[in-house]
Amino acid sequence: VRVRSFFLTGTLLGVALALSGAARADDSPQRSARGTVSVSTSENAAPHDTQRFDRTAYTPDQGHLDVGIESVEFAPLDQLTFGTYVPTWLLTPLLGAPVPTGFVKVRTPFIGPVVASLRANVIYFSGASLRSQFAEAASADGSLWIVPVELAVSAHPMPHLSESLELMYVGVTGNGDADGSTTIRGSAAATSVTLSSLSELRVNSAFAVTLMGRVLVHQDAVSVQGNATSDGTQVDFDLGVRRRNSFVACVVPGVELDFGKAHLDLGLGYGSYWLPVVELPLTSYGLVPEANLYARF
Amino acid sequence: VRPKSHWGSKLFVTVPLLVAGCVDAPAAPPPQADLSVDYAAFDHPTAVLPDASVQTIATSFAAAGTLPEGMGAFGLIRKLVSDTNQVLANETGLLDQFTVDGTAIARLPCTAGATTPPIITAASVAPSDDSTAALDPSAIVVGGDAGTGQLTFNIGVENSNVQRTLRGSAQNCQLVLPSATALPVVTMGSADLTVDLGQSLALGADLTLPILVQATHVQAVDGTSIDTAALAPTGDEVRVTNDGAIQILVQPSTFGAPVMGTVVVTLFTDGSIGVRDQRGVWSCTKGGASCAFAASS
Repeated sequence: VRVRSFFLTGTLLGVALALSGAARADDSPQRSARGTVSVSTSENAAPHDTQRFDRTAYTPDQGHLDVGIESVEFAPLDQLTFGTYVPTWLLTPLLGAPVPTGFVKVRTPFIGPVVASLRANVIYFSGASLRSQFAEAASADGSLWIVPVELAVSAHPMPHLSESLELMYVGVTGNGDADGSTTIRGSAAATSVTLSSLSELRVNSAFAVTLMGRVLVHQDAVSVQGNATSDGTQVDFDLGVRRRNSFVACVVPGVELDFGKAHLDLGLGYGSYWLPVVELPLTSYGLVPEANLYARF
Repeated sequence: VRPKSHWGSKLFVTVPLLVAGCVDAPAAPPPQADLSVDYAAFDHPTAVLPDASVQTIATSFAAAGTLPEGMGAFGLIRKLVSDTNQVLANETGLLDQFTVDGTAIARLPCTAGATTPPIITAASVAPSDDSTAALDPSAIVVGGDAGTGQLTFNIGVENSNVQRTLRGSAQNCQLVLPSATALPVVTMGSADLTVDLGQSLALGADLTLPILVQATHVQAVDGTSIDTAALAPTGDEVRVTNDGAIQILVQPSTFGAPVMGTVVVTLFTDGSIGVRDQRGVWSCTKGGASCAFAASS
């Protein structure tokens, strides 16, 4: 698997998300207008009605279905949410094969001032979907797994202020081969850890301001093993690919707008852009947009 | 208040432990033997030749006939390095954003892209004392193709550059055995090879500088060991240029020139010969009948 295919695949997803108006595929936003919800034994830990769920430890209420341009998710329990990413399915015609995605999020009960959650995401690219990454190849096969795992902690230090920290681990592993002018077979793997902070200040029931910060705290080199044959020369390689710049971060101020069941999150900041869904940061600095639109039923 | 499920909290401990494994990415191998002094010796010959001696040297080398283009296996080393470099560049992509380290093992059949005749005959036309006389030319004439012959090299990649020095071997390949005191011999055999590229080579960049090839533990196909240390002051070393010419560091006194030091004889694929000393370069026609001098700038 070419290293570039990792990033091209992620970039493809990012572009698709951008076109669809979504910038972050994670947790869909259900803020709760959650009537019955959020059982709390601690006043400080309970989210208020319009608390957002992405990059926080909060979860939707039991039985709620959220449908957004980023994801569709359902909460069979207050502490448990299942979902899938919408853009990856929309890429099926482009990639020639579906890209299955899914996630599950569990959180602790509200037993104190702080609530925590764990969320595991899985994105799988089959050989068929990877084939489009080898446009010059006569044939290609393989698979690519991307597994972001997020540990989040949230608290309400003040009634209208929510503060959340999230630590995200992203594991990437893949293998594959492609036959063309150069025959390639190999595998690759990488890991990264990102720390995020989200502050949410609710002005009223229809409007809130947010400030998100993200920093890459660790990233292993991408490890690439494989072999290739080019013009008679056979090459077995074992390489590590490391990011050149050591400081990768972004700051994104934004707003939340609520219109009954419809919700819109918008933000524009500066720094490195984390590719949606795959949660791998780009190296270059620039404007960082955030957008999400969703409805809750 | 709904009943609270506590099973999720166990996941907070177990899942991070399961995914916390790090990718063991390869690093660059330690640098190989330093041949930079030997390499530089070809750039700075020390002798100052009398005009009369130049033609003597050129005529002597011309008597050896036109050596095979690219000098067999040594010429193929350039192709091996170039092919490998392009493969690694293709595999790691996005080079401006990432640093690549690791190793590659490259193999190339000695017959790949062969421009050499299937029957290789040792050329030994020594005009004077011939330290390769111990080699019976008839013993190293090999019939048929070298279908089993192969070049194998370990190539280190450090900071997105192919390391300057490479180690490898030639098995049943056509080898050039130059001599500081005699004409080069082309033989079929095996040897350990060390290559100096002149400088580290950026991934994806063209190999343009001459490469220095040092052969040790040379063994002819009949099992005869060849003492390369006796062949030249620095062992069996030649430089192969981008156009397939061979450069040999020789002692002009061997050819009757009354001077000390070294000169560089270049054998071009068209049969013409260059002789470079401390002052400049003589370009001699095929056969060495006439030579024209151009002073070094």
